[in-house]
Amino acid sequence: MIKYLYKISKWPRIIFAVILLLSINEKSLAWQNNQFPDLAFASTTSQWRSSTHFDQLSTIERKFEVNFYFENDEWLKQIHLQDTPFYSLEDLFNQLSSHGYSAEKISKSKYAIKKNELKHKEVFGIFLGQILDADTSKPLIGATVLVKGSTSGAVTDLDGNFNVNAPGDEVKLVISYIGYITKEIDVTSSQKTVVMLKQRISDLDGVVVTAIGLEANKRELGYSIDKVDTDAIEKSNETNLVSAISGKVAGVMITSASGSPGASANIRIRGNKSLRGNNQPLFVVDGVPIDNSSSGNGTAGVDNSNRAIDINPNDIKEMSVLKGPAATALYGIRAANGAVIISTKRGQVGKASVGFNSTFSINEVNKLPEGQGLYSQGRPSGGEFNYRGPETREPNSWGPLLSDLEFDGDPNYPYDKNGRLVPKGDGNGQPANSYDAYNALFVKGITTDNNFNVSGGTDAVTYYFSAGKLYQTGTVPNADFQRTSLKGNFNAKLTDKLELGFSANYINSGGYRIQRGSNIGGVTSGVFRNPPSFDIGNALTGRDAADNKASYILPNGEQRSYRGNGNYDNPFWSLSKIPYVDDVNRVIGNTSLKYTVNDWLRFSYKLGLDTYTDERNFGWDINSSSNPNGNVQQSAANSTNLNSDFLILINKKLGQNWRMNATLGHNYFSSEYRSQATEGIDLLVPDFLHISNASTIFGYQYIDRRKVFGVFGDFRFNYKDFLFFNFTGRNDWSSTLPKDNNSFFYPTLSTGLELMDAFQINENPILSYAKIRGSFGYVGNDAPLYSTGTYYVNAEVGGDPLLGSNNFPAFGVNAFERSVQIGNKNLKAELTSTLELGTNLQFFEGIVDFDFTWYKSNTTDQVVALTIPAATGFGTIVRNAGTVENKGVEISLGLALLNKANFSWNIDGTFTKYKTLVADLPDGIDNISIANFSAIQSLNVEGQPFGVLNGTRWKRNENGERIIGSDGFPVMDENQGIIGDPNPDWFAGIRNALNYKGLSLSFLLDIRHGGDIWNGTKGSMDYLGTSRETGDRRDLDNFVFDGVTENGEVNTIAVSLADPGDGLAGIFWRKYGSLGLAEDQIEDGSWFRLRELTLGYDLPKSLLAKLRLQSANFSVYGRNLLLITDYSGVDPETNLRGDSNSTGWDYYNLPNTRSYGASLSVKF
Amino acid sequence: MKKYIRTLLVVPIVIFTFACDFGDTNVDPSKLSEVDVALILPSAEAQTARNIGAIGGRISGTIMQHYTGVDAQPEGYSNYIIDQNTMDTFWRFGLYAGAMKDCDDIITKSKAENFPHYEGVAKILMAQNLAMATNFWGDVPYTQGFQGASLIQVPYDNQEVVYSQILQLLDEGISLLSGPDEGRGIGNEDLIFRGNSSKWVKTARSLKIRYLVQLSKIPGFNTWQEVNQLANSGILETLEDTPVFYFDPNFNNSHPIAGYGLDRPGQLVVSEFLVDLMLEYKDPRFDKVTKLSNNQYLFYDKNDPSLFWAQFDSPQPYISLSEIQFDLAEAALVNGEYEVANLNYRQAISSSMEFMKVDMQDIEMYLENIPSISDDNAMEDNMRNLITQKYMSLYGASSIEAWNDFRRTGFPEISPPSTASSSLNPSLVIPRRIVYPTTEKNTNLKEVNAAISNQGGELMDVNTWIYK
Repeated sequence: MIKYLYKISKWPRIIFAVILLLSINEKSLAWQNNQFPDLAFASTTSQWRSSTHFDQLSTIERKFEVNFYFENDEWLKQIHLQDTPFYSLEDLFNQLSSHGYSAEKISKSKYAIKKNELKHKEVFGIFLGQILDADTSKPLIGATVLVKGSTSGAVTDLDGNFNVNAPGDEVKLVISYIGYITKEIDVTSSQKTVVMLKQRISDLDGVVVTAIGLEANKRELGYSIDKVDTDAIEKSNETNLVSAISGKVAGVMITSASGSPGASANIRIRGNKSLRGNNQPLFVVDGVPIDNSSSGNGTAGVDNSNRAIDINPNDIKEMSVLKGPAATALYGIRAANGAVIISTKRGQVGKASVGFNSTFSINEVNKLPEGQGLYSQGRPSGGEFNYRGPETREPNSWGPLLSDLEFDGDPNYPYDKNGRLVPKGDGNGQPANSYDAYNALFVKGITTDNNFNVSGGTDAVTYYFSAGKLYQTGTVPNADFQRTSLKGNFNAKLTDKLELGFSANYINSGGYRIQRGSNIGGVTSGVFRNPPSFDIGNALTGRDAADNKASYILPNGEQRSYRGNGNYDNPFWSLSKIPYVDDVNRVIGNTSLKYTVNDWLRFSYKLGLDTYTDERNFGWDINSSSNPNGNVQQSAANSTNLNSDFLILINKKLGQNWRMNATLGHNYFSSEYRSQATEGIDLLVPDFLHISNASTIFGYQYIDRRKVFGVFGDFRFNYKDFLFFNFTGRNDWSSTLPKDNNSFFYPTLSTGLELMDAFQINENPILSYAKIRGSFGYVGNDAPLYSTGTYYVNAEVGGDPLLGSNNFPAFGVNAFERSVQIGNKNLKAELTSTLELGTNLQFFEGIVDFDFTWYKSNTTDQVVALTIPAATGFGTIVRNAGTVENKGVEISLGLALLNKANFSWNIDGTFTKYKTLVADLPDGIDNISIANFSAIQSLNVEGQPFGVLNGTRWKRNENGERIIGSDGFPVMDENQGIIGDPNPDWFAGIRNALNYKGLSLSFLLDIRHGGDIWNGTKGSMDYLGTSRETGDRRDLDNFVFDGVTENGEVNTIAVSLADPGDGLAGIFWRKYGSLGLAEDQIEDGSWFRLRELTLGYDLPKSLLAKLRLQSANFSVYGRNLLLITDYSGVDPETNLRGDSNSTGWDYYNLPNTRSYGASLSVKF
Repeated sequence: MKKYIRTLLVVPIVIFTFACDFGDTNVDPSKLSEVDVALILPSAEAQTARNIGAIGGRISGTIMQHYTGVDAQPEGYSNYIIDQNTMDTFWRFGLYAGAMKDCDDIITKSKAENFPHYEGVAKILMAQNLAMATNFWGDVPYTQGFQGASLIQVPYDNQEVVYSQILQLLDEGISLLSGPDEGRGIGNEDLIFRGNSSKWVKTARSLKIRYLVQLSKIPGFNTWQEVNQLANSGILETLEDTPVFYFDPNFNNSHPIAGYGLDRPGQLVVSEFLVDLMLEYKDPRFDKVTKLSNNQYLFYDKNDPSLFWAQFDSPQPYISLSEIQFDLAEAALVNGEYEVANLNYRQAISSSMEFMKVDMQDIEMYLENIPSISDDNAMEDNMRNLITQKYMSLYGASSIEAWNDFRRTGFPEISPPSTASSSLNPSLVIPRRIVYPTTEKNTNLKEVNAAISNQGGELMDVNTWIYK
């Protein structure tokens, strides 16, 4: 292994090597035994071994895997063995010492117990006391009492009492207890002292799961780690567990694609780092990485799921979020962007407990772009706004006022039951209707979520079994999503030393998805473009309209839409005739073995499997606008991820002051994704979307595969429980890198110091805890699949942005052509270095808990597929190039305003601010395109934030003043430029939790400040004349645009915004292309929202006993009840391109939802 | 217990042993690493056909008022909102990393393996695609292109160099295809001529005529003499000689005109200017070009099989017999041979109509109605008649060539719409070129700026070298 250490500069390599040697070679640790240089007794002297066999003795010996040797058994009667998980050998020795005994180590697992001799004939005082919880006054069992400046100490008994012997009459006692604030008090002997310990508000001492399933005490970590507990996950009532994190963890930003059932949610930890595709963190469930990919979220099509949606949030015990390299390095390259560590619920020893919970909620759209309800379909011609009905296929709503039209009453007119619209006076006097298409289309959806679980266990076996079924319908008819999950896990102690674990989770998920985006079959396109003079539902609304073909099919079989039988489908057509159904069957399982060799050495092996099939069937029935001849597609993807982890775990005391936890491990990861698809075109029979109905059939096949090996070490040192060091190192070999250069190494170092103990700062009313921490480390990342080679692929005949390619085989032959990407045989791994500094401070006896983190990271040698001039004969080249710099601060603030037994009020806030800068791109390349769409692009530009929005803009002079043309209208710049930054300035979450007896109220406020969004929907609606603005302002005829002429004079030309004399082209909103001028559509995406509100009631214990229940809770809740934003479109939290690196796009996005519901959970 | 430990240890050790050898894991099993030229040729041919008929045809057709955009992007084209994004994909994946890449690849491979006929065909196709590039933009990269990673920021050649390259490629194509095939004749994978090399030679000579005619305004350039020489050495003479690409009769592999019509109905219609012209002359091609529906002259209707250019499997000529005959007419006219000119002019119209399967009777009637080329008319009137008829014949076949003719001759006399946008076209003329695409500006800015300054600007009203 050592020979692979050359990658990094010299010093970390040496440190790593030294630690490796230290830990492997036990002899090198031998100095710890030298404290007992001349033990007079040999371990073999049988006379030392008491023949009396006490139960307690054997219990102790078994627990700690040691043997005791002693002259008499008096001490045995005095010690009280605490059956708590934290009770350590050290605690036992402290007890011994308080009774005047000491233990001396005589060999690896043998101790001699001796009565202390009074060396200086000191007078020993006896100090008695009791330790109680400050809030509840209940005794604290197993609290540690130490006499400061001596080795004496004791542990409290079942009543919280202690009894310490120490020299002198007056001593200072240090009293500590897990989860409580350590207290120092002066005591005098023979006087019983009652000590009240205050519980720490934060889970400072909480055990957190860090990388590769290791558990660590949070206070010992040198980096920030955040935990989201069961309660917070359940209260969020989110289908997608990724969304459940939203607003709860500093540094983490969640963006949902939309509120449609099963839509993906995008998670970024500390922003984007990689210029290329994947900036997703790794998702790990019970130590096994799972697939959270998503496929198919483009500018068109449907909102697909990200695969973490398969995890049932009800099975989750807690989630931790690991951010920097120091935290994630052990996971290797896959966690280069952070990791979300999920621990699922497990059985506890005890009788079987049965739990059931049931949730019902109603979902509705929370925000829609404002439309105009005044003007009809039509366009100006001959100097007037003329009405042109659906039969004309008129796309625009630049017709006359509806109030100037009336019906003619023709019963045979197919587009409206009231007849066609004619000018006032020409018809039957019935005034034209202004139809509300939103009201016709959007409905209330429901969510039901029922979960059942059984858990329990014996000393030997624990088990947990759960079954859950979620069903959700969308806010438009037909849309739905369901998830069925079955999960079981078992842990068996085969022997004292060997433990076996087994876990399996089967999930079936999928739904009926809705067309949206840049898509002429899109439901949103259909409804937001619809003129108010056309009734999409043909006198019906919602599910009634969707169920009745008369709303979207004319008697002659053509489509009934405001565009006639043509461009852009009636939304109800789209909902019924363009089905998209996905069905995922997935199994996530793992099996593990743990073998405990002795008190300091354990082996563990875990094999995890995550495999699924994702079948998608979709199609366009004959007469759909985008596929008038019909199209049917079926695809089946098969994904298998296999992960193997072998760990050697060492937990050793190094002398009195040091303790070491070391982990050495080996990891193997293999993933294979096979996708096969069939497409059939030119269907013969309507209403039969089956491949057999197609006249021509095409087939596609893709295979992705990747393997990674890693070896790693993790060394944690604890000095006197206040200074902590952690070194890690990992070497990976990845199949995606060139064969002879596929190995890379990266180390991290982190440290934490608890200031109160280190500098002996006494407890004081203001500062109750202080820790500083710092870490520095690297994490590597490999290359995208197959990027070392240049290939020939099935030829594609393209080159037209508005028309699909012809694909070979075609024209009676097959053909290949060189792929547009130049592979690179000299790639090396990319590397992210991060420096992180932080502090955790608690004030006023823990009422205020403040955590601050600052970090800066640099990702260099990025493996990027650079866009290059096409005249090279290629489109992209894979290179190590470019640097991204991330800088940010994260603040968590916990306030325990009240913490009484009956009443508590806690506030937890997070604040995140970061900047991701594209610091450097290769020479000659000014930017890298992430996504491109007519008037707008997401670009990475050197010196700019990640993914800035670039597009058409106003022409401006040197002073930045807008140039107004001689016609009085602003001029478009011939060159596009940067027009917006989609990255928020900061975001914050504030969670309030109030408890009064059984009543609980919690709410989460979520705030995002800044972050531009391109409102392409509005640009398009303006162009078509359906937006509110075009309703309110189209009759302005004396408008003077702000700006100057070419000569720099202030513009004074008054214009009409919509002069019918010039036809459509005289309309301001149509002068800059069909999406409008991109700069004009940039809006601030700031928001303030009430993301969660839950009011719950726990049945009191007295009642529970009568009902024979363990617990019962009833709650009502709301999600997204309030949204305050200046953004004029749908909820600014949505993103057209879903889970991807291009953010800040809104182009016919499906709207987001608000929901309210009730939940009941019972445990037997 | 020991045996458990052993098991635990053995598993990772076994895996670890094979740790660093991944075999072919990183070799994409769904792709090839090398292929024969015969497998690339269909791609080069199909892409060339699509470049003529897809967005390149729609943009030049809209500029030339073969079409009018009435909605969405095409409506913008009609008002000269043809921005740097509009033709980016065409530049990248239609031309340079599309057909031209394929041609370059065939040329390189054929040279190495001595397949002169493949090399010849690839050079002819390369010439035609390079010509389309310079027709749209003026100065474009070529001589230093296609070097992959060795030269990424490819410098631009000025248009004069580009034209000399086009002519040279065609000359080389002619000479390679006139020689032996060295045992490697082209087979049925040639979707144009099924390997008939003499027809390729005729095509190359005909294309050369086209580009020589484009150069005719350049002082000191002996276009017309060369055209006549070529005409005598064997060019397209019958409809069977025409290099035609046929698309498939299904939507996915359809002709781009029909594909667009089906996929994006209601965006583009046949322009009033062309409709009026055809009605004025009672053009028998009218019903094969357009169909009146709801006051709009549609270029596509899925239920109308008579629309000649708008069927899934419509033909796409690389160059039509008619176009060459118009060129010969022009050559004769310039030389003052009015009778020959008139004959060729009528032959050209007839060829266009015959290609479109118009009845002979209707053709003859039409030819009676149209003005003749004769010395009775002023030169300008003769040219107007000739180019206007050529413009009508180029509908569907190649709007790009109609645009080239307009820029060279000023005919037919179209004028910009009153609603034209001045942003990219400050002098509001019929566009003379279009702006360089986004990706070039993003990845090759220095070279683009050099080309812009060489041409004296980059907006649509700037003339390129050939039309100055």
